[in-house]
Amino acid sequence: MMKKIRSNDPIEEIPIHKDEYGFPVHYTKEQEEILRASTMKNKKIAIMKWKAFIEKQGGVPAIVRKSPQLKKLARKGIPNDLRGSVWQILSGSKEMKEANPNYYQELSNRYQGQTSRSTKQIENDLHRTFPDHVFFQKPENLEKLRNVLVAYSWRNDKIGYCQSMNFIAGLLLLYMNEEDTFWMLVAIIEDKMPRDYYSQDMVASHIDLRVLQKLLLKRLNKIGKYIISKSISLELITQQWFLCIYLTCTPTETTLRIWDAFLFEGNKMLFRIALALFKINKDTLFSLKDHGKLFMAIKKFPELAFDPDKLLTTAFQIKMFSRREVNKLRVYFKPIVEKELENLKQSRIEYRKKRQQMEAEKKKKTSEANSNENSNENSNENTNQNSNENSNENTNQNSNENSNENSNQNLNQNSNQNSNQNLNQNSNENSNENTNQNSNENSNENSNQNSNQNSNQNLNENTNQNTNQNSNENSNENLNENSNQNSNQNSNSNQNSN
Amino acid sequence: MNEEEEKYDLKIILLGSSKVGKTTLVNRLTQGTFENPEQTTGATFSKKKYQGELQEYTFSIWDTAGEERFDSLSSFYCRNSGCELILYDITDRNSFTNLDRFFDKLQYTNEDSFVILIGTKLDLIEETSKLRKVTLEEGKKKANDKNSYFFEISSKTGHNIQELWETVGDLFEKNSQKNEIKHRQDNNHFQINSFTNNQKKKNCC
Repeated sequence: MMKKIRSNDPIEEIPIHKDEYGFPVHYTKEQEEILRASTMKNKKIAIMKWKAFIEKQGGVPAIVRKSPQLKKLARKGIPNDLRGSVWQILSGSKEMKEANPNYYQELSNRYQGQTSRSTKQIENDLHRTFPDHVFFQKPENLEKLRNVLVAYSWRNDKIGYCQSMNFIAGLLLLYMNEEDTFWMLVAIIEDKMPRDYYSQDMVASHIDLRVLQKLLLKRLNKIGKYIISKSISLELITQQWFLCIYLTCTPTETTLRIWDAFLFEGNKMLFRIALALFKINKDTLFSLKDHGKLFMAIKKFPELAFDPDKLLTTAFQIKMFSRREVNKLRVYFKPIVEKELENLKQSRIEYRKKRQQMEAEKKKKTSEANSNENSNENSNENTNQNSNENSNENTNQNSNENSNENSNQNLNQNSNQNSNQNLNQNSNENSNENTNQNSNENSNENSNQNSNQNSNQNLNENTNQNTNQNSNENSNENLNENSNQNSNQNSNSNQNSN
Repeated sequence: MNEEEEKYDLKIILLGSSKVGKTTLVNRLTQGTFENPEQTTGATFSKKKYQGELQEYTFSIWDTAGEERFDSLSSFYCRNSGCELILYDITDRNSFTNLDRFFDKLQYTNEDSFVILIGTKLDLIEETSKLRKVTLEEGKKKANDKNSYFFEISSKTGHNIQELWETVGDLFEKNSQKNEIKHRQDNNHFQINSFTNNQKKKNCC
């Protein structure tokens, strides 16, 4: 079930063959032996125990979800031929389905032929879902996967479709039919995992990434500190572990065992497994100093978890954080993460505005540069004469005033306005009103940048002929002069416009 | 056995909508191979050497999932990036019209970083140009508007791949003559970079 993570290291290039579940593997022979030896022995014992348990219960359907005996057995691994039905009991999806007969069929019928906003992404991912597994090479099975994912996107508009749901539904399809897969997907997303894990902003997912970091520092302090000291952004790795419930990253046998435990124990298993992965691999971790190598090594921790018994034993041995502790941390991080996400959104909006302003300005400069070639000779003279001409002084003064207001106003400005103003500017006859408007618009456009430079550019744009040669200092002086002579100039300008 | 910390002279990141060919380009660049990869989850690191005029450099290449909901991790992904390859699929109009989303991410990258806009899957239009949904001129214009360099490539045939890589190297060398690459190492998570006052200065294509 591992994704093919290619490496530059030729030693790790191992020809791909398939495991007993049909997923491609690239273990070395030694690794496979470890896997076999450990799992085969325990598997046999588990199967016997399961058999006895089910006989006593009177068949799989009679199993009660929350019995202590079942917990023990789930930790040992569910026999593969029982997995489909036991998972549906453990996840509660069986009850959901029974409570809503015909729901899936009706949902599918109601929206048949319509496209949801998730359809395109689902299509994008269909052929990238376990492409090496023979099951997903058959069109009829891809059709099932499509049906389930599209149906879910109709059921839950807030989530729609999130990458990783394709892997979850894909795995389930190997164990149950389309409708059962749908309900189990529902049970996992809406019940087993915290709310808003897969939603548009993925708040809960981000919260859990923070909780994990906190738990790392709490339980495996040295490891946690080391990762921080190396500036590793764990989020970029662990988000996928959690979203897919370790599905695309661990060897299949291990994945299935994690799922057995997860479905019984609940989502705190996500953290137990993560901590166990760090604990088991701590020697590797400390031996790596290089950021990139360390990053990829951590990313590969799940891939190297060949021995599910070792992983789960380690996971359950980690001095336990109760469900309550995990939830307490989640509550603690919730407002923090929400605020950060909001800030990110804001900064993105502001950054986009800033970029648009820069782009508009660049366009202007380009067109100016063209026109300057013609008027170059005149421009120097004009610059020198500026201070004696009322119209130019007015412009200076205005831009000075406006630049103070820049930071407040710029967010509301629209670049379309600017181009209109420029057209006006060409035809204007230096009347006070027009000049005022122009410099206002233009200085706003340049906001957030160096104000000296700004006013300089504004002046150039407004007066049209001053271009190019004005230096920052120059405009600075002008501005200062203007502020000192404000009253005079105002009267001047009034006269002028009159 | 401890290994030494490797110095990466340039961090290159790939940006672009889902399925435009980010991972495929990385595979082409680092291994010279072409195959359909499984969908990328999380971020992936690889490296590639670049033979400069006077010395050899090591560039790190970062690839990530393109789906929009993973954007909130961009600040981590883009941190310290000195070169952004922004990809769109020339046979998918949406991947072109959505490009602003990726230019937004430049707020997290290095101030002196350079951007290369890349139209992918050029091989698809070789047989029938009907498939082309974004013209060469549109791509060029977009790049010009965004102060970026521009290429149309095919990771399948290798078309323009070498040219692209050499451009990355050239620009890096030009840049590094001007500036020292900073290796800021901050541990603040979800750090929001404040705007820098200086606008990025870039040459245009």
